[in-house]
Amino acid sequence: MGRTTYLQGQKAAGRKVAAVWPARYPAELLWAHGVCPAEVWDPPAGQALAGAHLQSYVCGVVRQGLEFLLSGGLAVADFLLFPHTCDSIQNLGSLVRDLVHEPKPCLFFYPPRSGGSERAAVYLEAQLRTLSADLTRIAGPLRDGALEGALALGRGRTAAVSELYALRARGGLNASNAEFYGAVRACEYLWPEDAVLHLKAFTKTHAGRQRRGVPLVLSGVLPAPSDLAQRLDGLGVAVVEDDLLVCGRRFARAPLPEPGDPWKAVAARLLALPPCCTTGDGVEDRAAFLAEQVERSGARGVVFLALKFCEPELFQIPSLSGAMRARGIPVLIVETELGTTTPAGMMTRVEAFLESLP
Amino acid sequence: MAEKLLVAGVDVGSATAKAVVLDRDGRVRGSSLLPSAPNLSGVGREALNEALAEAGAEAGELAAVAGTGYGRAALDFAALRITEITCHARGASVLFPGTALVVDVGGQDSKAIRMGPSGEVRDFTMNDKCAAGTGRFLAVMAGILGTSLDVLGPAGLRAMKALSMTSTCTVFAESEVISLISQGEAVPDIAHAVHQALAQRLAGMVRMVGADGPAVFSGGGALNPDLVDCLQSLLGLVFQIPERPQLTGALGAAHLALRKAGA
Amino acid sequence: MRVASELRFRWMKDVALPVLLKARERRPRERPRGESPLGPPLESTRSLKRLMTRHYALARYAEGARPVAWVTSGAPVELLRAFGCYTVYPENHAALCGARRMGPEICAHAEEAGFSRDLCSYARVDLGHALSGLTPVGRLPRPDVLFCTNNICQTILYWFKELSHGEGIPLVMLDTPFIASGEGTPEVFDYVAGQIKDAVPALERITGREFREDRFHDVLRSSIRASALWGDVLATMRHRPAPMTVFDAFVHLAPVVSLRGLPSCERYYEGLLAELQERVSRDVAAVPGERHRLMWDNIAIWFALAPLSRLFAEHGWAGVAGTYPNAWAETTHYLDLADPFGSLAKTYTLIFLNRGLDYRLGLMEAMGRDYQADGLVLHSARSCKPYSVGQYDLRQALAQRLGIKSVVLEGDMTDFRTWSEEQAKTRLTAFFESLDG
Repeated sequence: MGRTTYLQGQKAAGRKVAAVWPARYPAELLWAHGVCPAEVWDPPAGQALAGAHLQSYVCGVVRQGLEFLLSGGLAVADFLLFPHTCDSIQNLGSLVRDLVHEPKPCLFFYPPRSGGSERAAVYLEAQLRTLSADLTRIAGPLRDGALEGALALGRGRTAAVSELYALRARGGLNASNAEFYGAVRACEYLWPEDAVLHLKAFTKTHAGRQRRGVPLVLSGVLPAPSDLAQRLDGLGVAVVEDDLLVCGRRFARAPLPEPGDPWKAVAARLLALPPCCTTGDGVEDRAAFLAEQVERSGARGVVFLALKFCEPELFQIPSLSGAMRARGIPVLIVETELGTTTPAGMMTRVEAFLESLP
Repeated sequence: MAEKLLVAGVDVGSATAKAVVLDRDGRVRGSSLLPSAPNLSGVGREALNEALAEAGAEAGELAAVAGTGYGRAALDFAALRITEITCHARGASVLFPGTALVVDVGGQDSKAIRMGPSGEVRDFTMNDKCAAGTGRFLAVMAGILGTSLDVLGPAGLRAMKALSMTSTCTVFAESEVISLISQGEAVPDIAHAVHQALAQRLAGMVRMVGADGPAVFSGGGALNPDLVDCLQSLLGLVFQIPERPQLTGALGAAHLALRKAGA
Repeated sequence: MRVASELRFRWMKDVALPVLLKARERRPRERPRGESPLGPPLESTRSLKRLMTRHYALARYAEGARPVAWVTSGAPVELLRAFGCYTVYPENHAALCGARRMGPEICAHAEEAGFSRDLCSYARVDLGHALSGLTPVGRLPRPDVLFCTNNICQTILYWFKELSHGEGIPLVMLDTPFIASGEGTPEVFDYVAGQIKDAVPALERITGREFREDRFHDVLRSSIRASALWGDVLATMRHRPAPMTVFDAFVHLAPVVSLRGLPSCERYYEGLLAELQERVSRDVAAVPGERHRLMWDNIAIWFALAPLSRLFAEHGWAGVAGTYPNAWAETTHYLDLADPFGSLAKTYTLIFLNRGLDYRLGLMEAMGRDYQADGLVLHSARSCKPYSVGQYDLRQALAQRLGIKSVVLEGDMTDFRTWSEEQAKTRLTAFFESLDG
């Protein structure tokens, strides 16, 4: 079943659908309001319409998302949500609402940058309540216990994803890179209960000895271009961990202690995600996180997928890759762009990297 | 059946296809250099046949063939496919043992490779996607100047005046060169400015992997003496230039085939 | 050691530099004016040069004598001044490098260290400077503290984190949430004001100095006054003919950006305003024969400022308004000595780059009317996403609302490797032709 068909089914079941731009947002709050978020990362879209609105130096996530919206790809959505992930997505949201005059409601959400400070938590909670008021207007009010229920759904989904990741890192998952990312990325639009069923079924089908391949960790935003995972399969690369913004950087690897107050719990879950450049975490934290992934999974190196024009990522890659090298971990940096196919030059770099591994 | 005594390396690039045939002692017995063609497998085979003909040998005598270059995946007759990075590094260290740095300027790609003491690849970098920094950039500029690639290098050496070119984006550089022409600047001066701009781009790549130690300049770009000069003075390094720099990748591939054949 | 640094700093500040700078000025520097299409240059430019040269020259003696802070252009510098910090603005420094055409050379050092060419060129100049020491101002003092606010862009945050990481310098960061619509909520201002309050003990620790509230108030008063004067300076361009151009404004905004809160800054703008008012009274035109009036959007193309200024003037165009110079006069009216922290939070959170595009559209529309602009030039700066993403549609909307024609220049603030002078000239000339048509 395609995404749109699935989402239409969600609407038929009485839920609202939100098109949500990357990257971090309080999914639990949306679920609690009976909203099924469908994330817009790298939708299949050309360049024809967005080019009239965006300069050529704007990143592909923003361009393709706008193209998809303008070409009617998000017709199923009842409203749009723009987390303030970077300057470009921030302006995109405002552009869509104020100048393109998108008729659907456009909501905004600002993940605080001041780390785990108490003030950030307070401000985050205030924002959750504002967002909830907006959601009430669109999807109706929160019912008693809805937030607690949504938190339980979130814990269930995190547990299912964690189990899958842990299995892969231990070498116990007999799935190609393409299959793995196909399964995990379905969480981008599945209702959490469906996501859990889907992940569990996948885990069950694919439990078994890992295929042979050079174990590597991927870092970056997306496994992009879209055929990259498949091309890596072709080269005999077994991705064993990732800190991709779209996947591994969006769920905690270990269960979190949760405050009793559900609002505080939603805020705490956001603040406890793995370190990320978009929310202002430093290189030290990210390096420690990546090094731990390498160690735990026995990876032989890290491949940084440097998404063109992605400022938050591109700023950290020099120091982050340097920190990996300083730990004796081989690294490769390849420039990637969203698009239909992986350029040959990029695969040559990966191949040469594999050839050079000690 | 005669004992298979030969190995070959075939390098199919975007501009040229090259092949080198070695005997079991690693001596070059034959080589070839052809313009590339859209049929990558065909042109690769053609290059191999030509090198075999020069060696006075036949395909049946080959114990192993290694393919490299951007067309390597299409070389169905090659048992071994290795990237041009590894091959250029190997080729350079066969020709000049102890090489620590290779700069290769090819048609579509350019690269800087840092090597360890036994010729293994330690780090490398390649030009980004646009054509700036590659042989293609020079070919476009030569076209605008109404000259050819062979003439561009020697012309640049005759420059009398330092012009500055700021753009390394091929499209912008094109318009810069055109405006220099319209201002009546001399071809040698413009050619030199083009080389200087490309060399700056290359120097940046070299510094990213580390710029010291015995260095080799390979690929078609090495045939351009002014470009080599510019890069040498920017980096304060002296480059060794193979006699036939375009064959370095094929030579490296052939040596990797030799290792595979267990010699 | 501290005493020696202090003595050296004072001696340079009060004795040596004034003499040196005077001596330099006495040298005859008459440039042949030739056939410039521009009106007489502003007298104040000389004091501006003296002021900024002194600022950069003295900076290197500040090390050890004053706590040195590197600051972003949108940060509440008033707080730092209360600690007597000597402030250096990497953005202002990068603009200077851009104007001296050193951008690509310095950027190259950052690029060789792995920083992508797609990153903001101000950041690349700054990181390139940190790696190479290259600068047109001799030497910048090593900072004791980095102070940044993400109201102008998130880039600042990544960039200052990187400086802090690379050089091991403490970073004080203020997070100013984006105001997508409306005038901001109490929660936002509480969050920001709280962080400013938290910065006080942090700065006390780092600088080893006590926070002096009386001094803080003096600085705030001075800052309010300087911004108001700057606003008055810009407003003189409403007059026809305009007594200065937006290109002059780009040059003369350096003090309000980087010396705001200091008496020298106020004094400077008093002088500039008096000169401009005198010009207005005599109808002295910055562009003699002014035929059209233009609004500029985005930061300057520093390396092409002079040729562009000339090109516009040649066609009878006076640049009279700009969203960028206006930013330092835009929100200071929120400052209130009765609630310094809360009002600083408002002042710095509500700047236009930190607000939705509907607000920006309204601001530009009002500026277009107030300054009677009949053309708009949008500099699409590949370095600056918050400023540039949305420009194409702003342009369409303004064409409708104001009925003005506009042109987009693809450029950058400092990196002229992506700039084609010929292309820009052709584009602009065609634009002028279409208006005269």
